[in-house]
Amino acid sequence: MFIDSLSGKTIELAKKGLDSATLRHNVISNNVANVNTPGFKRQSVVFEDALKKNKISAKRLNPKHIPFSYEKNENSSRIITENDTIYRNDGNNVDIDKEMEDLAKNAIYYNAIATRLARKFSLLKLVAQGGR
Amino acid sequence: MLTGRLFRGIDASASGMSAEKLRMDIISENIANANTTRTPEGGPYKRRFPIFTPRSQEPLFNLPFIKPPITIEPGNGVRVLRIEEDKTPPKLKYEPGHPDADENGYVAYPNINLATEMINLITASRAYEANVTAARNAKQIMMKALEI
Amino acid sequence: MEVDLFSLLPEPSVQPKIETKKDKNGLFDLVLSGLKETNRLENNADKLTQDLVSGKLENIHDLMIASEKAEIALNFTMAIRNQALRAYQEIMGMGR
Repeated sequence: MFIDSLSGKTIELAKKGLDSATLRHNVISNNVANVNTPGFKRQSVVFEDALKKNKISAKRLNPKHIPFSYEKNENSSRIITENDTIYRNDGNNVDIDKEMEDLAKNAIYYNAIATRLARKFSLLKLVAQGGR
Repeated sequence: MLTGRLFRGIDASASGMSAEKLRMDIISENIANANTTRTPEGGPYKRRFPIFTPRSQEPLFNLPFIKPPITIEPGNGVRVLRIEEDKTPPKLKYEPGHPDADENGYVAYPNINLATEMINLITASRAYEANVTAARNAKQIMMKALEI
Repeated sequence: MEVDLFSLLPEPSVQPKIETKKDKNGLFDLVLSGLKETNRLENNADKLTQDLVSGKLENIHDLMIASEKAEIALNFTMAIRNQALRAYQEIMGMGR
């Protein structure tokens, strides 16, 4: 059924990509805002592809067993705090140039997905209207 | 609702801009008073500097199965905790003819090193601009999303 | 307040008395399931709109995607529904 393609892999994955990119932007913004905060440790975002996750997930043999927390994680992105990188004197490990670079890359990533989604929706709309 | 969860990133950047701007103002004051030997409170001007601390929106709760360093919510920028006075002792210069000289002829000058202040000013300025770039970026990607 | 799209459909003038087997993929069943999904998508888009206005929404793209999905689903369902109605009217006209 055509409507099922609206919940298909491409659109869902694209949405997760956008979620991850938004989170990454917010985390980078926070890093930049705290570039001069003593003791602050930079954070980054890791995007785990939900499809990849399913291939290596652990299986419970008995539903009464405690579920693996890995399975329960609905968000496909995680925030990681980098506690072990090189410090400045005040304990802060934010490198402003790296943050700017990540910011630019993330923006391109977001724009690419958003553009692709917009085009896909235009296409689907055309098909859905049946040419009328 | 301009402070909704939608605008987290921009809020963080805005807080960074405010904080760095405040820092720059304080540095300017330090530089302007680098030779102020007499203040209403008595004694030379004392160097001041802001204390920054991360600003967080909601308290993190403890999840039993998740170990740090994985956190759930990103922070929400930075804020100025307070403005501190530098407790370093003032610089003493031997100027017996100076009205503020003490009985040994030494004048107490503010504990301000102009080179340090300039470097801090540049650092704050760079940080301010980086925050502006981040905010501009946030706006651009949100506008792009509206085209979906 | 949720909008029930079913209420927006015009009633066919004659209820079909044709006995069909429980055929899940019959045309009318397809229209019905399409309508249900369309309804769900539209209500979801409404909910996200409310979240946006109240400040609860986290990602603007969630709303845009939901809104597009709802619109596409509605377009498609209406197209199918028009076809189904036309087919039905043709069939009903065959006996005369």
